[in-house]
Amino acid sequence: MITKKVILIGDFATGKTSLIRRYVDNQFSDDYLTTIGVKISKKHVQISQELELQLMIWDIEGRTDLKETNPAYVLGAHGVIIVGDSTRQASIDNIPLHLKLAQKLLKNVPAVVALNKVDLLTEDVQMKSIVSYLHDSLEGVEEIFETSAKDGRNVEELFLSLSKAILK
Amino acid sequence: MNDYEKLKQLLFEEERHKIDELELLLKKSIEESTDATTIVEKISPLLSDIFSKTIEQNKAEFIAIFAPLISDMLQSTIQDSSDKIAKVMSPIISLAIKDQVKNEKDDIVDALYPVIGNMISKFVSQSFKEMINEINTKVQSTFSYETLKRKMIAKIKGVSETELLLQSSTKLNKVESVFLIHKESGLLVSERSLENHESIEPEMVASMLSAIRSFVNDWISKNSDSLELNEIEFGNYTIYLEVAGCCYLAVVLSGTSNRALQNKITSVLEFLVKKYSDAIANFEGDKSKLDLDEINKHLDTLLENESEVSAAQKEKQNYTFFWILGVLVFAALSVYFYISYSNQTLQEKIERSLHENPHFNLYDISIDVGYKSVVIAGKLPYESLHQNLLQSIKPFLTRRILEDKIVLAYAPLTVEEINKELAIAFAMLNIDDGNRIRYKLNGNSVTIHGIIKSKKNYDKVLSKISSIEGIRQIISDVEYDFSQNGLKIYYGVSKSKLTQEKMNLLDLWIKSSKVRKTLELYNDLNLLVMGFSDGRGALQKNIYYAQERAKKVYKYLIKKGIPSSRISFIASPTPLAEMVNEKSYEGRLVQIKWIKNDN
Ligand SMILES: Nc1nc2c(ncn2[C@@H]2O[C@H](COP(=O)(O)OP(=O)(O)OP(=O)(O)O)[C@@H](O)[C@H]2O)c(=O)[nH]1
Ligand SMILES: [Mg+2]
Repeated sequence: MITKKVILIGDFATGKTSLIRRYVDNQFSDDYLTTIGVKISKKHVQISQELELQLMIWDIEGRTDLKETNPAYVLGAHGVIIVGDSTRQASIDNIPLHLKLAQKLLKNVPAVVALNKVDLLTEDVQMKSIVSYLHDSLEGVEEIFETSAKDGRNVEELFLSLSKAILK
Repeated sequence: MNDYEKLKQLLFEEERHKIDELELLLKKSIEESTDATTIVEKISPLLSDIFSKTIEQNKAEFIAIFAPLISDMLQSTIQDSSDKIAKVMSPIISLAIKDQVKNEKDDIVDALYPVIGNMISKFVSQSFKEMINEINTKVQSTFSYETLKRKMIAKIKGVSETELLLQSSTKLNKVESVFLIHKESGLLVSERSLENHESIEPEMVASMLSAIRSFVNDWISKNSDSLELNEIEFGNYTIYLEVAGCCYLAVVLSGTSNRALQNKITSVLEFLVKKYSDAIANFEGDKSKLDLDEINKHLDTLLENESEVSAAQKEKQNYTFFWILGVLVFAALSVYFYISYSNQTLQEKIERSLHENPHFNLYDISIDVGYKSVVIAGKLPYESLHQNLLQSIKPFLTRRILEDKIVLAYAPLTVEEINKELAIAFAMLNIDDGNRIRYKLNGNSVTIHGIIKSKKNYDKVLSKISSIEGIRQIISDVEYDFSQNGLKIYYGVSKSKLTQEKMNLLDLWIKSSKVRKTLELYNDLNLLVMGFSDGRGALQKNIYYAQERAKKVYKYLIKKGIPSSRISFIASPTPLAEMVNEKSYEGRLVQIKWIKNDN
């Protein structure tokens, strides 16, 4: 079976760990335990009937103003998920920053974006404008998803889309 | 003279002539135009002149007069437009923080360092825990057999165990598994293990090792130049890392790595890199594109050596039988000596353990250990101490019978003796961190007062005291020190809502200060929720907010499972004197406190 390394990057507390937890264990918790270093999980993805993929998912500690993402964690990845918190403008503004870092370290590696915590949003209008803005400004991103680790919205789709892009 | 007059005097004493000027100017301006802005424009240079001069000269007085005014002004502005203020303030605050960080980097690093250090060790240990467990259980059997054998040889040969250990140390380096890992991605290229020692989740191990490598190397590189993580130790195991450009080898071995083994690992990796570097460098997670059989053959040579050794061990095992026989004969001969020797040691052991209990030290107790029985004799003042003694000896008896020849001498204790007993009991209690207990013996009653933190030993001590013959009454005036486990929640002006933030705070408090556990263990402690207002403005309003604040917290805590019989709330329209001094949000708060119930 083919194994691929996938990384999740983004600002702190955007829900990277939660998205993985939802995807791998189908669980969610409201507690916030910040990730230190990296946490690694494994998941089999059934892409099609005969095509199966094993993902080694690297949950990388979130970037803060004091701490940049460690390049060593990013290197060698075959796919990138950039996570922003749709309720926190600053974390969305930083998405291009994360994308740039990944593109600098990895050549021609597919990336998808997750705008997480949409379950907390009441105004869809605002979200739509964010998505359209990001679509305009992000180059080399396969797809942008509005996700929720809490209710599970678009989480499967997020990882599946990336897996397919990796195998393309 | 009121403040206003004082201000006037202060402002205008020296500038009296300017006042006339000002008056004139004002008149003129108002006559000339009704436009407010032009007036302001004209006057302001003059005003600012007056102000700056006067303020310069009478700074302290100015501050004294303005301070209450300003705080009032701020208060009302904040109330009216807290959002606006927040907007204005936030860039300033964040700038201040940034500045602080820039200027005091080292301080911040120092403050964070212990936390980070802990996190690293936790991270490393957690990632490996599973693996360690797995490996541990798998080798346990072989290992304990080895240990036993070594012990026997040591007995027979009269050699020290350590010496033997050193002699056989080459054998202790047993390679259990080998991982070949793609360096950049941390993906597993191949994993080989000894038979019956297959690693669980080798892919996970490979990724984790890479993550740890990156993590530690990143950390090291900030502190020194050319170091690299090349060995990870845990218990009796070592993971030896040998790194090349495109990949690295992780070798899991029991015992520590030695030079010979390291050389061998290096040469295997060298060979692999020479032959397959391109293929491995371009490894994309698809093993079918690699010549895995060939690679594995080389990796297996790292495991092979050990199986040779174990073959040699198998041969030697035949002799084990004779060793065991020898030991048996030796043992039989020793039995006789052993018995008398063991009586002696047991006696010493019991005596030592009794010495550790200061209560027994006060009395003359003799112990005589025989082959079949243990005889205790002596005089003790009362039954509970006697029972205590029997309990302490019991665990040593095993097959022996206890012959109890203790005589109870119900001699009433002298005050001196009681004091001695008490001193011992309280010394034990006060050893515990945070306990501060004093006692007074008054005839046949003891008064205890002070603060304790750990209730466990307190109960023990109480029962010990009550078992001292001659003490009839214990008066306890002890408080539990829970001050740091209370909670204060502060409120904005005219706010009583229990926001999500405040609920989170309460949740955290319940969890971190183990509220439920405390309620369960200390049934003499209750919770009191006290609501306060700042005491400014109408009394009615103050009462309302104080009550609302307390009630909401009270209700929330009950909703969170705190039994209503153990919690109550009160409200006060003004803060406590001590709180006013603190100036913490002017006393708009809810304070939760532990109180002792009286019944
Ligand atoms: N409502 C809601 N909360 C979420 C969602 N995803 C995450 N959270 C919460 O957001 C907080 C942070 O989530 P994490 O998954 O730990 O964030 P992270 O990105 O891994 O954070 P770092 O490890 O510090 O970088 C937690 O309290 C989660 O419960 C979501 O989709 N909806
Ligand atoms: Mg995380």
